Amino acid sequence: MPNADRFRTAIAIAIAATSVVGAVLAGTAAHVTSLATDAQSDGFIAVVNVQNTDATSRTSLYQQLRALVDQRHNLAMADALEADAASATDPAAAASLRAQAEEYRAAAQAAETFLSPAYRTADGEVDQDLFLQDQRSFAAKHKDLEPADDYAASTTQRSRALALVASLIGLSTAVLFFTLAEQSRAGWRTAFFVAGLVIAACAVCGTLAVEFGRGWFGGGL
Amino acid sequence: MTPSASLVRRFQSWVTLSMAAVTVWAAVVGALQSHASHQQSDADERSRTLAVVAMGELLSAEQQAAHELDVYTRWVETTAQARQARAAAQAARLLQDESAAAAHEQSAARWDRVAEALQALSPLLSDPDYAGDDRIYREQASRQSYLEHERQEAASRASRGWGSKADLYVAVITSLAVVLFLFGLSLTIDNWLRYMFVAVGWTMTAVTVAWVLVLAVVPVYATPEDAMARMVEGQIAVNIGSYLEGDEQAVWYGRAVDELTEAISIDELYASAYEWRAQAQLDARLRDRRFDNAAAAADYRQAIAGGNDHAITYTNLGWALYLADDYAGSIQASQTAVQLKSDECVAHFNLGLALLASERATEARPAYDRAIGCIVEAPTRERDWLFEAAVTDLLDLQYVRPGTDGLAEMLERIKELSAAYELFGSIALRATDGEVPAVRFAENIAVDGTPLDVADTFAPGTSAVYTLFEYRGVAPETSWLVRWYRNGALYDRLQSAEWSYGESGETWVVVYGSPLPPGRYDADFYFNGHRVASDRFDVEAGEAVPMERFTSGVFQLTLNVPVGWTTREVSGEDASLIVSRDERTYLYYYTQRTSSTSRELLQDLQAAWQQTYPDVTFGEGGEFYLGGLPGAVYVTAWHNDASGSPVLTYLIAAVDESGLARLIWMQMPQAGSDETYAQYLLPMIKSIEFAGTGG
Repeated sequence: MPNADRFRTAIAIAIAATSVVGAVLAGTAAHVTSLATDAQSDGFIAVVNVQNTDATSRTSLYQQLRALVDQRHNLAMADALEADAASATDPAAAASLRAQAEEYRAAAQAAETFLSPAYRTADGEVDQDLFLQDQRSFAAKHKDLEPADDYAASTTQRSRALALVASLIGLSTAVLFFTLAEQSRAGWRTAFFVAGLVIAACAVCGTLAVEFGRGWFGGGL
Repeated sequence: MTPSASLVRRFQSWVTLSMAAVTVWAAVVGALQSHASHQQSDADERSRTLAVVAMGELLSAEQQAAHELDVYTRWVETTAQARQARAAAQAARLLQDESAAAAHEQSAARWDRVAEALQALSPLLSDPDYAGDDRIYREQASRQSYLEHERQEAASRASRGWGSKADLYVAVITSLAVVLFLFGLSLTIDNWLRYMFVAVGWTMTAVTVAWVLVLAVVPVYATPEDAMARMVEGQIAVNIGSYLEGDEQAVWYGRAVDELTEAISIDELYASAYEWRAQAQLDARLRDRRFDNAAAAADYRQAIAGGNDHAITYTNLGWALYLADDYAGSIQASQTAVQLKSDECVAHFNLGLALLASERATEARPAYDRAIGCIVEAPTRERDWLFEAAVTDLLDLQYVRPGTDGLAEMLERIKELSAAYELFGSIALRATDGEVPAVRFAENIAVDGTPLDVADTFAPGTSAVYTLFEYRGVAPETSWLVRWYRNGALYDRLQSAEWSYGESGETWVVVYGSPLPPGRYDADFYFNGHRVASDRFDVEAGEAVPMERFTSGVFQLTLNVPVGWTTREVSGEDASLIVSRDERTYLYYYTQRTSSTSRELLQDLQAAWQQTYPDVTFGEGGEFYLGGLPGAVYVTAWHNDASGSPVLTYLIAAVDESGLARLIWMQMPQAGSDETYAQYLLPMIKSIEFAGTGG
């Protein structure tokens, strides 16, 4: 076989090999894009979960706060009645005031049962932030409440997809050079062929570096 | 190889290379399209996410505001208990029951302590910025929700921006496909045409390169975060301003304009900021123009140019231009609004109004026809409002430009159609022979129906105006309606599906206020939808204490009470007590059966007073107006109260035909008693209406 024919055969093989690698990269890019979309959807679901959890938690929180208002109201009245009873000169009136005070105190205690001691601050308030955080922590055991993680994963996959598309462009350029080599005169064709090989090798190495850097195909094709 | 064959081979080589190069270029554009598409997808996802977050924040704000309002309501109830206990103490003192008074005082002090304990539990009570106004609190609590909504809108805009970029890249790729086709075609042709195909292909490729460079360089519009923050502050100020009136509203709208101007200075393309700023500069009525409506119109134009080109924006632009006396612009904007949305009824009315104002009555009539057709199709809850607004706008035009061609006819038509709609639920008027030949107004009316203080002008603080009208030829099945417009806006209405006053005679209806705000009042009478009479009266401007209507459940007595005063029914005593905020002025009312006359009863009351307060001296006396009861009499008395301060008391007695005695005493500190009597007690007394004496 003459040299020229061997060279043409080599170019044909290079074009074919580059096309096959390009097809694999295109398939990978499509898969990675799909992974990015999935991660984005997970992120959206996590956002909905967070809002759902917070809305439910706030409903419980305001139940507690209402109980706190009841408790404060009844305690203040009980204290005022007892103070009046202490200063009353008429024993019957004092007894009546004390009886009323007891009723209010009992009502305050009933309201107290709706208040979780774990979330009471030193001055008797409800620690709202702690309550909401705890509710989230509890809910996080059952559902995804971290949209940021999902969105970060989505961004990573999108970067991967872009890198793969960039490699595809490199391979297309390599094909261009192989074609040039095919069509050029003897003096140029080797240079074009080598350039094509170098570009194709760079594109493939770049892809391998990106993929190995993240773990091969991030979970597989 | 012949020279010709060599040329062909060279041509084929170049075309092949061109195809390879264009393929690479198409791959590059494909990558750019992919990037733009990803960005669009990201922005779209961000927009959806932010929509959920904004909804969550809104829900959170609502829950928070509802809770604070709940605490506030508890506090109001508690303070009301304290006031009631104090009023009860006052009443007990009047009845010489010191021990009961002390017990009530003690109870009031307890409620005060409870109120104090509640005060710390809500910013509505503890933060002076809110002063108990839950609407302001709700707006402030919604800040984060509004901000997330703005971010969502911004993400949505970015999504659209990237989407159009991606679409344009697709157009480029499609062009490149055509180029490849032309190159391929050139390889199959032997004549000169092949060179032309290649030339066209390269020209198209060059165009796509320039196109893609421009596309890649021009950034997608993104609203800066600072601009959004300022925008939200402006939005909150506009919303708060819309709850208020007068100077308070102007202050909030001024604040809104400042914030929104700041937002616009950060982002000159911020369409929503222009639209909100326009709202803060737009008047609601022609006759009360205070704001810069031309500036509002300019802002609406900017908002439309920036992409907020909705029908409602054009409607508002039309209104702003109408208020700015640019009728041609208003007509054009309103026409655009109805073209965009044929059921934009307000735009139809604005169009008719602007045509009337520009003396084009013949064109205004069909515009109003379409507006009325629009109202008939509008949701039920909007119809009343639309009719009211249409009448008010026409009355305002009449006020500003009396004698406008076709205006009176249109006003009459809209008024009658709206009356028919109100009476029958449709705009079809029914026939009537009823007439109202005469109307007059009076401040009071005696038990026998005799009008007292008949006038066309009433003093500041007037709480009721009796509208008396003669009628004839009225059939019993006639539906009737009376409307009172104050300065062109509907103030009150009274209607009935049937007529129960006989075929002819005179009767009256009454319009109340607490007190009636100053202004010109137009009363319109309608039988079966036909306007049969109109007349007007004025209430003069002047200082008047704001009051609210109070009805005693015990006595079937209604009267105006100054806002903030405490009312108390004294159980077991058949008495009512109304006490001022400082608890130094009060009105005490009670009834008893008697066989005495009013004067005898007053003498008995004086004797009791003399016994209770040995230092009392009596002054002037005479007849007194008391809800139209005949023979009511009064006497003034001075004595020193428990603290040694001199007080003035009016003792009043009236006995009706059934032997029911009504006794009142009104007490006030002697210092400033003239003002107290004129501003507070006299309007209260004048507003008294006993059940059975009214119409």
